[in-house]
Amino acid sequence: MTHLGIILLQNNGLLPWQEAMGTFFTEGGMIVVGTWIAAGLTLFMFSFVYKDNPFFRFGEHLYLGISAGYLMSLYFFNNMKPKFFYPLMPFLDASGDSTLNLWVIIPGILGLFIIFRLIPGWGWLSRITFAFYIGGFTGISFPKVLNGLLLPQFYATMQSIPWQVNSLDSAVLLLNSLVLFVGALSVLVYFFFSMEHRGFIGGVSRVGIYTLMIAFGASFGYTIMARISLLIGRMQFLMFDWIGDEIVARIGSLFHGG
Amino acid sequence: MEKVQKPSFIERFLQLDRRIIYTLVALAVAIPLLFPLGLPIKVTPEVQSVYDMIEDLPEGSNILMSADFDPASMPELYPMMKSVMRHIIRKHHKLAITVLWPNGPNLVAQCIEELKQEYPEWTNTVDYVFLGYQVGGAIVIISVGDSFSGTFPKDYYGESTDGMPIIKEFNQLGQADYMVMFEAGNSGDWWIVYGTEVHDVPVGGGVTAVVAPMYYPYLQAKQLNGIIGGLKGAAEYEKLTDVPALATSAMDSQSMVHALIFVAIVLANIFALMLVGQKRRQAREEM
Repeated sequence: MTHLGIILLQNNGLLPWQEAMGTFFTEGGMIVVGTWIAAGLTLFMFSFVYKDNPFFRFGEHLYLGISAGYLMSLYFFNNMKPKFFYPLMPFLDASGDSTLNLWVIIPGILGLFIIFRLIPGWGWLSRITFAFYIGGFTGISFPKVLNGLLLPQFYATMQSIPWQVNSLDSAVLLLNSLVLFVGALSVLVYFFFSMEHRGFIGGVSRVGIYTLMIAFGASFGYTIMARISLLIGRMQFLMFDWIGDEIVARIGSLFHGG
Repeated sequence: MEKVQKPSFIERFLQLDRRIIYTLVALAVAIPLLFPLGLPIKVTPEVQSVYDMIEDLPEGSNILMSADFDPASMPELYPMMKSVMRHIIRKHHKLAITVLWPNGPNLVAQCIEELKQEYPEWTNTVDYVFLGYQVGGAIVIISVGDSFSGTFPKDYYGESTDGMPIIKEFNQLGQADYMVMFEAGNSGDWWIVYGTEVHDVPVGGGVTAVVAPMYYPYLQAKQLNGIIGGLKGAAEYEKLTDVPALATSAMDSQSMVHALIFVAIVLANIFALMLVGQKRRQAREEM
């Protein structure tokens, strides 16, 4: 016991293993460990491009589990605790900022009804909550969506076509306006199912299909750009954060003859 | 015994093992990171508009930023958010930051920490307030129309927002002179419909490439004053602020992969047409 007491005195109250762990669990140490874990998990996920394997599945399940746990704790500590439990039981709030507010019982009960969906025979109660939520939100949304989305988009589509061309810019503007005019009308005709798509209507709806295909093509191009950006992000992490800037620069200089 | 016909070169090309394509894509990404090509980056008008708006506002203007993304979109949106935030700091504007995605706050906190090392004089609660995440989506946006301090009683760091120097002057969405939103999904629609259109606040959007086509109609309708689209947009903003960083270094890789995919699509279509011709010829000969 005396020996232990001397060790504790010498190490500021820490046992030798605690001191060693303290050195390891410094901010810098944790960054190194975190980087290695992230790099390992990245490689686990990349291994799927070869074929499905247990490493990939481990990484996938780990991500799902951590995300679910993180979100649950976030919702509890950011919302349930300060907005439901503290107003009901202000003495739990150490800061003393909370006051008793029994009105929170109503949303609390409505929220509880949603969980009742998991209990056979009690699921119908959740319909009350959904009816309240959908009804309320539709009422709030309707005027705002009309004024903020539908009408401005209508106005932007119903622009007069600038026929006068006296410069390259005005020619581009005219072309854009014509594309918008023909594209919007032909797509609307394509989605007009009350008339048979034959003759003139059939021709216009075919133009609508081409317009949609060009739009999907543009969207596909952007999607490729986005996915490649994610790959580049991971590659940058593996090459610069994990392997290290210096080593990558040295490899580069070998081939540059530097 | 029937003679087994060997697949032609065209057939073998069209049935190329996907792992070869993956390897080529990986090389097209990695090689330019090792040996940068320094391909030129041209600034597009929609990115320039966002830059000009922040640049032309008088010093000390109020800017609201919403970072509605998570680590899955970090490679695209983080570099542009950092560039825009750096620009705002340089212009000495007041900045309030909100997050509508639960996994987003840590990324904003990291960005703030990195920028505080560049600009140590940039002061929390005075020059900026990081309001953090609040659940509710569109409801949060409607609520910040009334007050930030009511919607976010505490900031990300747990400090009470009520009484903060910045909040005394900038406590409502309507008091913002400009808003910049970084979007990986449709939260931007909510900001426009429930927020900026209602309070008549000009807004610019930094968006992932996947959702960029969804936001272009807002640009056409002048509901957005500009769009920073994907990694390319981020690189353009880095060029405008004269601080080349992650997005700029990634553009060579991006261009190389696009070229590779372009060549692959063109070759695959040419070979597919040639295969059709080959089969027609074979069918004619057998008749």
